[in-house]
Amino acid sequence: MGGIRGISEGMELPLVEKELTQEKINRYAEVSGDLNPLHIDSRFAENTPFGGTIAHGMLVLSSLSELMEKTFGKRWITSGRIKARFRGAARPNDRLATSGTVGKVDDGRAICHLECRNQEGTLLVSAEAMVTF
Amino acid sequence: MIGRVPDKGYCFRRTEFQLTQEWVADYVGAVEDSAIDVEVTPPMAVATQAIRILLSEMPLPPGALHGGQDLEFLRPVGRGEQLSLQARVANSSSRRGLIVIAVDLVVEDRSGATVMRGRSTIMASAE
Repeated sequence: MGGIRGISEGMELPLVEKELTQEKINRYAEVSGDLNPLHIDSRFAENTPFGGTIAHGMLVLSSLSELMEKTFGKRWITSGRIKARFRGAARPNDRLATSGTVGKVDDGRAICHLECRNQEGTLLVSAEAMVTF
Repeated sequence: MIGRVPDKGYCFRRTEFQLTQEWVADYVGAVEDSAIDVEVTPPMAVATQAIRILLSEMPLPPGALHGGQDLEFLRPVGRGEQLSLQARVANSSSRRGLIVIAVDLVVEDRSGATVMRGRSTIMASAE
């Protein structure tokens, strides 16, 4: 089954670790144009159910894409698909760990299950990602 | 737009954009992507710019949340390449003071070929 060199079902993908800071969140807000105060205004964010600022979902999702780039290289850029759901808030000073496993390899495609968790093990993002060969 | 949900099927105006070398470098620095080749535009950068345009066309109330993101990358995008975004409301609902909207995104190159497509799901308070 498969035919993708070096990729097998159940295989663990390389871990991607990031440390979040408010400065990094602010920088991403500038680059992305997403200036939602929930991400960058602590006074506003304190009065929301989150109790403080949180990172952009797309900032966290970039770690999942990076994991797929590291594993599959150009195949990710030319055939990658991802379905991600944001499950929890990533906060300043969180240490994020993005991990994944290869779920299925067949018919020229690999399907991977990805997760991003913080230092307490709280699930922040879950995703299914696929590349074709 | 606060409290007003675009109808399902609503099409945003087609918008052209370009991922400049400078912006891509800023993006890579902001997300600290260590895997991407210097000649290649990270596919998430294309998505980020597409969503940036969407947000400018569909202002959301403060505190809006990204609920989910589906993306499909079809080919590498060159830095400086001219692209266009077409966005369409796939679904929208308003219930108990919460707006949930799903928007389909299609990014095309100059020849009209699709380079990326996706669906963004966003939640916001209707108040």
